[in-house]
Amino acid sequence: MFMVKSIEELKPQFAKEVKTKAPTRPRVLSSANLEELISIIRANKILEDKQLSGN
Amino acid sequence: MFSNLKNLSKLEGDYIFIDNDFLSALFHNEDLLRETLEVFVKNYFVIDPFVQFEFLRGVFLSKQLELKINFVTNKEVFSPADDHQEIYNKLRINAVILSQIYEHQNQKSKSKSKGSSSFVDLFLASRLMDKSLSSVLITGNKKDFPTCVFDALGVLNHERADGDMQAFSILRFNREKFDVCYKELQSIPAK
Repeated sequence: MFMVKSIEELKPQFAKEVKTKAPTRPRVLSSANLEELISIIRANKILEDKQLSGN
Repeated sequence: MFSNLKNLSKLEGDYIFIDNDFLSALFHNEDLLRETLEVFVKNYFVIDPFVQFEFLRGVFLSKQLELKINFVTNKEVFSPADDHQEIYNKLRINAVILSQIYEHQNQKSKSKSKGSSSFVDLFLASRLMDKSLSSVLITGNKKDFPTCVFDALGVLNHERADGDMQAFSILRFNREKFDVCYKELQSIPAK
C-alpha cells in the first residue's frame, strides 16, 4: 500500500487551502469535561505510583 | 508554563498537531493541560493516528490503557486527523521526499547527526507539509523537524514534577524553504 512505484510519482503534495484569519470562535470546553480529563490524569498518577512502589 | 510567543494571535485558528512527547506531558501534568487549553483557546488540537499509536503502545495494564484512550479521544479537546486511503497516498509521497531532503541537507552541512527521523516523525512532517498554511506542531524533539524546512515560531517551557525544565517548540512548515531544498535535490546529477 505504501509503495512508491516511480520517480515521476514523487511530486510534492500540498492541500488546496486558504489561510483565513476570520475571527475565531474560542474553543468551548465544559468544566465537567475538564474535570473528567483532570480525573484521568490523577487516576493514572495513582496507577503509576503503585507500579513504582511495586504494589 | 512560560512561552516566548510574541504574537499568539498569529496562530489563532490554526490546527495544532501534537507530538507524542507533548501529549504525554499533558497526560501527566494537569497544570500544563489547564494552561495549554487557556493559552491556545482559539486553536484546534489535532492527533495524528500514528501519534495516537505511539501514545498507546506498550501499555500493558488494561486500566491504564483505558485511561489513555479516554484521554486522547476526548472530542472536546482533541480532534483526530484525517485517516483514510486518499490522505495516505499523499502523505507517503511527501514522507519520501522529506526524507531525501533531510539526508541531502545533512550531507551538505556535513552534519554529524546520527540516525534519521522516525517513520512517525516523517508522516507527521508530511501532514504539516500538506496543510502548511493552517497547521503548526508542538514537539519536544525539534531536531526531528529540521530547520531546512521548518520554522520555529516559539518555545513553551514547563517545569516537570522532578523540577527539571522541559522545552517544547512550536513549528511551522515553510513552503519557501522547502522549494529551495527540493530544487537543490532535483539539480543533483543522475550519475
